[in-house]
Amino acid sequence: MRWRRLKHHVNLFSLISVLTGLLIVVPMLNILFEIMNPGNETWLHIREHLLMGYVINTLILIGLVAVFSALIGFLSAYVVTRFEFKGRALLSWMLILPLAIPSYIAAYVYADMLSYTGTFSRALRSLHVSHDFNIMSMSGAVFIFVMTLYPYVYMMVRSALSKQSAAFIENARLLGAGKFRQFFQVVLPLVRPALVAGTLLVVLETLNDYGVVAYFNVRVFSFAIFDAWERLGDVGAAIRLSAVLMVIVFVVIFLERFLRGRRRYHLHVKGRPIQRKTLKGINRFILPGALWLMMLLGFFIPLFQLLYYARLTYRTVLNISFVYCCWGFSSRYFSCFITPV
Amino acid sequence: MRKSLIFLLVFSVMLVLAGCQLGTSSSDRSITVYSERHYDTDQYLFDLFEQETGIEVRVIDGNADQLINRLDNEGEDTEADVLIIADAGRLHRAKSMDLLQPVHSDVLFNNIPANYRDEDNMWFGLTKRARVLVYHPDRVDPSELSTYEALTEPQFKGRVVTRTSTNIYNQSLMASLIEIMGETEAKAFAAGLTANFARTPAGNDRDQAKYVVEGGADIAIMNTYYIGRMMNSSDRFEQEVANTVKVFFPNQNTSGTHVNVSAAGVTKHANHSEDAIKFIEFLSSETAQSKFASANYEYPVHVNVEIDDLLASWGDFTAQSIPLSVLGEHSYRAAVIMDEVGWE
Repeated sequence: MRWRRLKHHVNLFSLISVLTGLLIVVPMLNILFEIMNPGNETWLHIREHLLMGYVINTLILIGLVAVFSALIGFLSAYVVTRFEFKGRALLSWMLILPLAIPSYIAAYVYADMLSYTGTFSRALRSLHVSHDFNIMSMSGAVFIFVMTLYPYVYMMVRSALSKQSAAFIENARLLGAGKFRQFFQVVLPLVRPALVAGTLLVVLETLNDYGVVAYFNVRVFSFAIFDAWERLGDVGAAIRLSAVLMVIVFVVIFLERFLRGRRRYHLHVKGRPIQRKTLKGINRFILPGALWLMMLLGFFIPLFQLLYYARLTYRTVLNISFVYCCWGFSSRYFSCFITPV
Repeated sequence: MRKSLIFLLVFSVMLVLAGCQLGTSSSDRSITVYSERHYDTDQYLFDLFEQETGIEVRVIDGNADQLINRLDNEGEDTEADVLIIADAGRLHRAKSMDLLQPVHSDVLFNNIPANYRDEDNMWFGLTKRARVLVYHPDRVDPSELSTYEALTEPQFKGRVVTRTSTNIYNQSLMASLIEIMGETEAKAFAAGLTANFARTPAGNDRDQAKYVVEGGADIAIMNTYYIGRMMNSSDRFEQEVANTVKVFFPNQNTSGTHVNVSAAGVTKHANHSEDAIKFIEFLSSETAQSKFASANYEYPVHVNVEIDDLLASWGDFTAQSIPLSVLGEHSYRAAVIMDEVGWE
């Protein structure tokens, strides 16, 4: 009886899923087993002098990035789905664009712009203003990650909000709930799964980034893994640190599951979509203005700075060997597909 | 059915991609170079070598640690014949991982002074760079400056910047000081220097020079060639920074200024070791040396080759006289000491 039921579940689909899963899990198990081995001298050194700092910095970084990107992602999605204003349709897809700027590139661009020779500092100097905001720091890294990764939250929450039926909110209002109650007891719980899933993605992206933290010298785990391997020349210690990082990742994921518990919210209720309210008064300027500011910080400023670099260097880069190089690269990749066929 | 077909297709493409290597064509006579240096002139010299000898040079770029790890993983199957790396300490690591082979070449022995090559002839220095003090002339009188060690004195509190301790240049500087003054003194130096930092280390060498011009610090510890590169930057504001600061060679009356080399070695499992040796000999020749070094505003190792005008304008200097292989021998201890004193 049980065998038959099992047979019912075994098909090509599930077999391939399991195989793919195994391909991913095997290297992870290898890493986890490394913890069982006794640590060597390098590991003891790391544990004594560095590990505490790595753990604290990692928690601070993902904590702050999670809070701010959840806040910004949620609020922007909320404004775009619930209110009507000029440029709303444009903004509602443009807010995704910062995802197209890799965090590392944004970090480099901002560090350069804010450095002594950078565009921003020069502009301020010409106005006889000096700034001492040091972007190469923890707060700088938080800024970069939030500005480039919040679209994960934004996309998830926007899609949850736009699927939400007006019925819930209207019912809440008819039953006498005030604005705050509508928001905290109806809207927020309904988008919570999307909010949490988006934030989780942001956190995982932050944990696996190496470029930003290496350039800014923010000592988190991804930095530590490379450091142990490259500077201390100890692969074993690097694997151990990866294992610790994996434990952190599992804790984050299980924490999310635990918090969600068994609650399930049914979003896909048919009905009229929410009517968007037209913004009035000063809000007409403040809310869209804030969204445009985010677009500016997360997308247009890095983009224009990159175009400016291109203008400075195109003469040395755009030559025949560049074209040749691109061609060589693409043809090699192409042949890579063709050969086995 | 269709769904599972698509699934199968995706899966097989995944497997193919996972096992796929970028194929390269092989010519009759060629060598493969794993190089950390990637400058236009390097390529120009490789082409020149190809013209002179008919030996094709194929270059694979990467950073030092990636290339060394790759060599180690590839073992006997490696394509690489030559390894070029911009730090003696990392070459020592390659040597101690048994990735290089000894080379006996009178040409190399004649062209390259003994302290810039490995004692077992595993690697040969090709260009050298000095790690110097760069200061703002308005805020620092050069008579204030003397040695690296002097930077730990109280009058320099909050006035010094340099890169992070993860940076190989600082690690090699520390390794050289361990060799010269012993571990206890070197640790005291690292602690004193860290206490005088103007900020928590961040950024690259250029960022340190900018910070000095900005007014955040007065003195930066950095490599000479960065000043050369900034002077010739496509960004005119970087040129301005490089033209504002001045270069000071420390320890002239004591142990000498710290120098490091970019160097090349023949890999242990090279398939074309003779051609590989020819290639390194070519790079050490007088013709190649002037180009190879000046391209990156470095000093040639060949004594007969004239140095670049810019470098000449900074004047002559005395370099540390230690054999550079000690940079590798002490690099681990150097790293540990920097962690212990809290040099981030």
